Amino acid sequence: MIDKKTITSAAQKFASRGQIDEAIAEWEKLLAVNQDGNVYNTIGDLYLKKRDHQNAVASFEKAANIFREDGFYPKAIALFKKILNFMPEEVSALIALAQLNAERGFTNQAVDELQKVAGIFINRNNIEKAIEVYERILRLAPQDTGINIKIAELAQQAGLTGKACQSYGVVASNHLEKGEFEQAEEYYKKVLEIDPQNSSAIIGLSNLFDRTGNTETALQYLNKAISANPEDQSILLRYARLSIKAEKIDEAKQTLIHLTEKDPSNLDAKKLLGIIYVEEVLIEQAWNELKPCIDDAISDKNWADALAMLNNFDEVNSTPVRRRFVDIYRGNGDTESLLIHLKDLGELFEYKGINAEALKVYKEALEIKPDDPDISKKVKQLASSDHTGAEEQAGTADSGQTEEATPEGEGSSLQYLEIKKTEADFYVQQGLNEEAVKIYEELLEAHPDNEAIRTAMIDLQASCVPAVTGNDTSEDTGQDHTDINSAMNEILKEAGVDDTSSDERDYEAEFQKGIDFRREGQLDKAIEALQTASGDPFNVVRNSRMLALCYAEQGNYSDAVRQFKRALEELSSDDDGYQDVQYELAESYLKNGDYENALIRYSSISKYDPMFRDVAQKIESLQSGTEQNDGVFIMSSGETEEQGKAKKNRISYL
Amino acid sequence: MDFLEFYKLSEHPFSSSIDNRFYFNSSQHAEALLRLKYAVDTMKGLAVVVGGVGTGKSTLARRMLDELDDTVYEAALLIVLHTSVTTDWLMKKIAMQLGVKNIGSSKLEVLGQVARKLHAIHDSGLKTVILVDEVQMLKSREIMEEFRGLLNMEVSEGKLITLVLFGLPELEDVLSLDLPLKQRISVKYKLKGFEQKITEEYIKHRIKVAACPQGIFASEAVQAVHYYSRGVPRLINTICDNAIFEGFLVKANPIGRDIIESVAQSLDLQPTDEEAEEYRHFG
Repeated sequence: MIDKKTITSAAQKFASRGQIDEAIAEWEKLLAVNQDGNVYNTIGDLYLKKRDHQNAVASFEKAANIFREDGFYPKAIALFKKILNFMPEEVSALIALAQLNAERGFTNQAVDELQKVAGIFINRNNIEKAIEVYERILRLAPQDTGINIKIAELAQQAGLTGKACQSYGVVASNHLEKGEFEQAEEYYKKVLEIDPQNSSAIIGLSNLFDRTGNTETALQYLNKAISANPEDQSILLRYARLSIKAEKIDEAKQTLIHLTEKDPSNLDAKKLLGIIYVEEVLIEQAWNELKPCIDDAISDKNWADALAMLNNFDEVNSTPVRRRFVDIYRGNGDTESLLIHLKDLGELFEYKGINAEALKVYKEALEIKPDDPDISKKVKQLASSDHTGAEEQAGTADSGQTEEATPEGEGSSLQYLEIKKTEADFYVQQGLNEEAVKIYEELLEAHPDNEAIRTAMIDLQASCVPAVTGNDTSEDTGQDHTDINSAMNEILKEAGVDDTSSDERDYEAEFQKGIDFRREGQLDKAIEALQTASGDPFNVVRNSRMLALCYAEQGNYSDAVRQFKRALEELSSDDDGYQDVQYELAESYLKNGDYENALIRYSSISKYDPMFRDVAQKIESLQSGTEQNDGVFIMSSGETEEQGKAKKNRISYL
Repeated sequence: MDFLEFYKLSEHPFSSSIDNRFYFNSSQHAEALLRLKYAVDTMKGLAVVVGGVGTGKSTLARRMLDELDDTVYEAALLIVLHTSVTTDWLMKKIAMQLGVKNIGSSKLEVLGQVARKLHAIHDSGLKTVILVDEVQMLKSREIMEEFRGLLNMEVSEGKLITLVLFGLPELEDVLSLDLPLKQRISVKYKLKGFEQKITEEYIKHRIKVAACPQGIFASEAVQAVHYYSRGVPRLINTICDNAIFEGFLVKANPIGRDIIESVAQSLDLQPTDEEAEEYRHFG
């Protein structure tokens, strides 16, 4: 057994005689049985005395670590500071000290110490180590932009381009987050100087321009990102979203179609595409895209989202749609709506002859409202029906098939035929002839001998193209209109449905009245007549444009904009008159104080024909926000021209 | 149907461009206006408004210009667009805005013309006010000295000209380039982000101006807008503008918190850990 007292006494004696090595040897005997921080400290002092700094540091560090493990932090800190007194660039001591300070919550001190370490590494030209230290600092102070810049600069210096880009990217993103757009742009561009194809920076710049309202430039950057990563779905999706925002619906649509074809499970893309189809009243395509999104929302129990999407098909009376309504309302506990939709679904099954399914649905409805006499009656009737047993099998099988069918493609009963004819008629009245043709095609498959359907379909097919072009003079469309009407009348007569009272002569008469009133300056009456005339699906462009002109003359530019837009929707950009209508729309935006949209429209015309009327001048004025040649000041706000004139001389740019 | 129709709006309620019809008279903007009007009316000389990005300085400047009746004030607003403005250029612009004819070529000449014009305006019973926006860009001691020179022109009632300078917080450093000028500041106002309640009122106000008969945002969505924007009006506009568009895409009415969160995420508006913690509590 070691006699601690004797050893200590011998060690002290050796030390006092200047026999340092012997003294150290004595102290080390004590360490063999007990790792004592104080003993290491004493040994460290002895090494220091003999100027053996390396061993002194090692001993002090051992002592400090023992104190630290035992929770004596001040002692441990004192020892590291002691090391730094004689070895100010001792990296391990500085790091240990920083770690201790960080553990105790003294972050600023820890950061200072680590900054010293990084500086030492830089002086030693060990850039990678310096970067590691700066990254350590970042873990303590993640918001410190200066450190990220430092890392980026060092990394760039050391040729670590990936790291440099990443750090400049973080700096840029921090500035963007704070709304410091200029700085954000500066740092994103630094990234691009190093790596011109860097997707994160390109996307960052796109975000930046989007946030600052410059959607066109945002799109240009995304285009660049797509060139570098043509199959990156998130970039493509972002591009589609921005295109929609910039009202470039065709571009958005193409991108989304590409995305959904590449990856049919990309529900975000499907959802956007579906919504575009909804806006274009292409119900079948919309359903194809939105159905999986609706099902996904239902399976996630995201009832609100599912309902929002499904509501677009509220007018579609088909089992897939009604079933999903039922699923949603069953899921979100809205029993009142559930009851309504169960009844609808029941009626649908019943009318398609799928009585077993109808009975099931009515029974569920009866559980919700046991005292409902109509439902009770239905349940009784269906339950007692002689055919129920036989239909049960057939009905179930049918329902399985219809679930996968499109909302329009089902059923073959006579009643169903009549309803589909009426639906087609509705589409024709709305000018949506292509949709009507689709319905007739389906009906014709089921009823190939029905001449009325065949005739109506051929007429409609013939009328599809001219009906939506811009040259919609009454002479051009009158013939189609008459043919379709006669065909429709035949179908309606066959179906026993009364003809509607509105016809082309009424519309034409109202249009003429509108023109006359406008000429006489009776704008209110003109608008009233033209509003009636605007029900004519075959002269949408002409009627909307005339109505818009009346609104504009009245100073009601909001409604003028709406009508011009309606006219424009009916035209394709190749049509004669498209640019004229677009110009009128731009003028209305301008007069309505919506300079942003006015600029978009003028720019669109300029792309088609830069010399079109005074478009170039208008664009220049809107972009500079300064005076036009005619002295009218274009304010950057929604002020009227009169107000703008009044303040013309009060605002100036330096 | 576009999103304006969907939400029954007559126009974009959250456009980021300055539109006085949408001006929201928040308590701090009202107070700032009151103080600035006081500085102008009492011919104090120099007033300063500082505020972070998007806090409404330019809106306030335009509003103030609007409220300075031209039968009482000879007022102008100069908007600094770049950093290389020289003293000559500045003085000529001021001279031009004050209506000096045949502006001289030398600075001395222009200064004399401006001084004479200021006296003439004062003699006609008007007070001269020059508002300057984005002053932090004028990082030049010479320009600050020029401002001070203008403020040295006095009559018995006070200064012949009142300068109202608007800028980012860095404006303080720019003013420090000429300490005697900094000492002449008589009114100083700092614009901050809105409190949550004010954010709510601000959103309601803008929607109301855009003629929407009903609210568009659910109350928890408004809270989220405040949280992510930190009450900074420009960010409120950006978030709401994007949320209306996103909301329209999914046909959400009213717009819920999930949409705001998704928009904030796509705009990279991340809160600090502390703010996130606070949000979790109210969320």
